[in-house]
Amino acid sequence: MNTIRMLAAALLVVALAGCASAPPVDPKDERLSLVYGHFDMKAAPSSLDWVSLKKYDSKKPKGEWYHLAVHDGVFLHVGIEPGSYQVDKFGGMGGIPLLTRRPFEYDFGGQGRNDTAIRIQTAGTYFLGSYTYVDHSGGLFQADKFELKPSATPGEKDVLQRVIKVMETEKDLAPYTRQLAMAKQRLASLK
Amino acid sequence: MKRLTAFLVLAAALIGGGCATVHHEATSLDQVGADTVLVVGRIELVPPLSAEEQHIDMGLDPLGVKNYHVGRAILFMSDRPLYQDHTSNAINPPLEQTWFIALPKVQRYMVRGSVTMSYSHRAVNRRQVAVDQDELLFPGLLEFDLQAGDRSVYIGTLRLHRDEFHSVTRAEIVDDYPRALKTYRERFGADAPLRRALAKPVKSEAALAAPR
Repeated sequence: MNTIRMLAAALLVVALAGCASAPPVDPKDERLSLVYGHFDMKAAPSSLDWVSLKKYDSKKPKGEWYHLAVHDGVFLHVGIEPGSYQVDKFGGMGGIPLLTRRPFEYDFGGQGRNDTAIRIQTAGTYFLGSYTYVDHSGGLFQADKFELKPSATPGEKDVLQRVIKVMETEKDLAPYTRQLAMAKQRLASLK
Repeated sequence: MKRLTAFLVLAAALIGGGCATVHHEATSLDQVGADTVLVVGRIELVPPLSAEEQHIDMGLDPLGVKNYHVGRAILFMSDRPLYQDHTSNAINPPLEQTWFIALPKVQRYMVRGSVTMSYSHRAVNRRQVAVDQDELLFPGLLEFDLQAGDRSVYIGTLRLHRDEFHSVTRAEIVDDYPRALKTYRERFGADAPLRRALAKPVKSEAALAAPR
């Protein structure tokens, strides 16, 4: 039963990410941008395992989402096409292991523009910002609410250093040398 | 019996997320009682909403709830400038058209307005259903100047400029009385009076009570 639940959760994450049938990112495609940011989830009831970036000017009838990989609060994607985007949902696993462990999903979009909104017109590096999860307990009879507060730390420089480290160590990201070069160029400009 | 109860709960939940009384468009002034007033207005989005932009998937929809969302706004009305979870009076005007809705005179505050851009639900597990909803939210509250002796009141055109994130970037109330009067008289009679009283932005009770 636990396996079924885990499988259902995994399928949900894949479906949310909109990547069930997405082709791999073409390393030679020069239109694509590197997008990154950071969520501090210390006060959240779950970990941060995935971030979903929604395209708002999509011509696809059912919408378009990108699944952003997460590494210790830093999320990134090497293949974002030009367009208008913002973080729509994110989530992870929480609860007590073997007792109440379950997937958590947080809805961050849905009511207009949020702080992560960006318009990508030319290929480059785009920092969505750093945010801290703040829990607002609803008490016994109301659902808990949350907010993501923009945070000065970690700053873009710090996040970008971690992004570069991930890109240099993750085997799957090795082909994306153009994005890595753009990240290093951006980092140099921040010094 | 359990299935029937579940169905009723689901139906109630689907109607605007909380059993709202929806005041429908009037076709005759006979439908306007002593405690009600015919409100005449218009809502425009800039750029206008295209059919391809709205993705409303209600699944099994025996009550036709989808019709409340497609090409329409949902405005919650109240007798005080405060939106609460149990605010349960609403009007459901079409976009880009002059509308005529009989409203109780005490419901003078528009406390929440929205256009649903997308709606769908999916099973998370056997017990949970998650709703995915995108809304274009109207900025702030509006007050309609509804007087005791009023039968029909023109509140203006609420024109909402928007961006691709479904955010309103600018809102204006436009006085288009001559056009509204022409349409009104075509429908309700050549000598039917229509008082001009444009809607006004108003601060919510919660905002007024908040410490400065």
